[in-house]
Amino acid sequence: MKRLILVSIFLLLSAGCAPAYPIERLGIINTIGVDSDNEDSQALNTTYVYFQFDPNAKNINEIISSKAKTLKGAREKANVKSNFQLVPGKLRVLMMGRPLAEKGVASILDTLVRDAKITDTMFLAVADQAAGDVLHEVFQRSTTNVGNHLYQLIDTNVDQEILIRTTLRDFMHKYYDIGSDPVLPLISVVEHMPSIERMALFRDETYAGDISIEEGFFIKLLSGRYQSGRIELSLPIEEFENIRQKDTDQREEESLFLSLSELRSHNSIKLVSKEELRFQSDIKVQARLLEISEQLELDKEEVVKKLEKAIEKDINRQINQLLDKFRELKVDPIGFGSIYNAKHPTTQEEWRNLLPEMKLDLNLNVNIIRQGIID
Amino acid sequence: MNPTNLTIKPTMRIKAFYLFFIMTSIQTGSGIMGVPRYIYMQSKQDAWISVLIAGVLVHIVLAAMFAILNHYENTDILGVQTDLFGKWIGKLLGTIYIIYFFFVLLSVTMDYIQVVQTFIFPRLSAWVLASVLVLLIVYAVMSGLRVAVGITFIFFFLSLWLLVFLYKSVTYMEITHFQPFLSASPLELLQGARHTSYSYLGMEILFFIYPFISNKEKAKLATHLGLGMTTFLILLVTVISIGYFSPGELPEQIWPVLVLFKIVEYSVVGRFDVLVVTEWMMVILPNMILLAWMISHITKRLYHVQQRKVLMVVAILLLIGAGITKHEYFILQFINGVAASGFWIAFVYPIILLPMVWLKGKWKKSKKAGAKT
Repeated sequence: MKRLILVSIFLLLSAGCAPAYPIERLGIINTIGVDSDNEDSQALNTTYVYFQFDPNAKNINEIISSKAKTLKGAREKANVKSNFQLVPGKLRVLMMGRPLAEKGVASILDTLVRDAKITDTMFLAVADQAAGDVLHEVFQRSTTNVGNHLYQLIDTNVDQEILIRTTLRDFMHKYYDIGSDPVLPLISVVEHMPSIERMALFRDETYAGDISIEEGFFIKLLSGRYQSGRIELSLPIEEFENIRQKDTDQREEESLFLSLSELRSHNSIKLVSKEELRFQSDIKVQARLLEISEQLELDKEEVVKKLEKAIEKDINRQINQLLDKFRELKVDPIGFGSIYNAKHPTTQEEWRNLLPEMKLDLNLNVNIIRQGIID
Repeated sequence: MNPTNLTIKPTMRIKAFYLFFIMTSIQTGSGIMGVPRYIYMQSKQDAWISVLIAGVLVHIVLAAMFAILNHYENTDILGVQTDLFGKWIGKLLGTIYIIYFFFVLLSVTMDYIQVVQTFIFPRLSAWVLASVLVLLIVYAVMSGLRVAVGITFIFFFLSLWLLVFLYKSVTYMEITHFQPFLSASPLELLQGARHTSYSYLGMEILFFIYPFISNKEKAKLATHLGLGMTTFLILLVTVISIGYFSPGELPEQIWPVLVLFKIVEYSVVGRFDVLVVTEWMMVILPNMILLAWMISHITKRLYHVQQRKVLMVVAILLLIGAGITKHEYFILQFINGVAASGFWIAFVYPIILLPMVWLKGKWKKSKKAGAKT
């Protein structure tokens, strides 16, 4: 018993040897913006948005910028400017400026992955200008809490399956995988608020081009599965000329607009021919038709079938357009290369050269299961 | 006096049932944190086959160990060695075991301290952590084998729940990482199997704990099941690691299994990996306690020194050893050295010993038969 008490006392006391981190003295970094410097090509301009738990402070958010050769060095320099100890344990978003992304981001991300303090679940994003400018502008001109806002902006859109999940882990995984390239949200400032306007395509570690959010939809359609996605389509109206209920709507429009929601998809890609580099993708889509700009007799089976066919045709066209873009940029966000690599081991460079010759047979099956409550 | 056979007081004996937990706990410790990486570096996406091969081989070694022990009435390896090689060589071999177990113990301590410093407290001195661990070890071993085994039993269940939280990384797995199947050559597969050895170290404990088992007829089943559990755990983390990490990523991870938990996140526990590293103390502590018990037990058997005194010396050496090492490369090299020597001591040695025991038995019999006629 005496021994037990002695041991307990010692263990209790030794807890005091661990360094303490009183929360009032910590600046908890929430968002980092990294940019390459204009004058010194090796230096990094880093902007930190952090939380402070000072009861007297007006704003719980604070922003600080510093310049150094490495990320860690930048944090040390920022620490000197701040009356708080900056800690990265709860880092949520890392935003990289576009000029930096064009040069390559692997060395920066590598230091983050190496650091056990940094969570793998933080989001990455690219700013369409300097990331520091985006953070500063939003911080100064808007009342919103910029760090949290950015995080929630990405998080809710990923949750709603509008964006592809782009955490640090996802990026590094795609970057290291042979025949697969990462995609990140591209953030611009619209009316002093950050907004995800487009998506940035990466070739390995460098920014290669961008696509719209709508085009981004097809990346996930081809590479993953939707549980509840949404898409807006415009179909040529001629196809529906004879089944259109003209009497109810007098508007003359060139296209038929419709929006599908609660979209569930399932897809499988396989390599059919190695020589031709031909892939085959079977995609099954189930969706609910929520909005349609024309009055169609949707209670008739042939009308629904016709509509489904038209949708399939349109999605097919859009996917092929997107693939042309990928072939031209030599990027592979869908990961055809990793499917190829699984059968015929290759290298990243070899695949990069093969990529423009890649072909895809698309078997698309769209199924509209429900409409609204009115026929 | 016959030095070969031991008589253990009934109050000191333990049930064969506990061998399951002893086996799993002494093998699963610091090795499993990094093992997928080492296997993967050898046999790539077929690493899981290497684990299966290693599993089968280790069961054979275990069967050989049982064959050696069952050849005698109630003895441990020290008795066997004395019987085979005589007093002095027996003592020498026993001393090698002491030194070897101490190095294993030291490597586990250094590895865990390194993990804590990397993941949680970079500024915390190794001395503090080492003294906390050493104190707990001394406290448990001083209370005797039965307490050590009890701790093993309880901590097994207290750390088993960690497995549940691998579910998140399972959902991130990709089947393409396993393809193409069977691209590693048989040699690579075997080399991968060899690299699991650090994670299987500790099964030698059977050689020392066997005389303490009260119902020996059940010992085989419990021990093999315990070993099977270890194989299952190694297989599980290896398969998940291959699926989760990219081919380029896995060889770069020092502790891939801990990184698997970095993806787990809850609103209450933002950083689950910190919790895992803390909890890992419950995984390595039984490991260290059993090793320390073996060191003190062997020294007592060989040199008739009081177990308590041995323990104090071990504690001080361990504290110094773990306190002064700082460099990661040294620790990694040290572990590699321990793993390499462990491969010979734990797996090859019993296989060599078995035919000798058989021969000696035959020789004895023929001598007896000769004496009679």
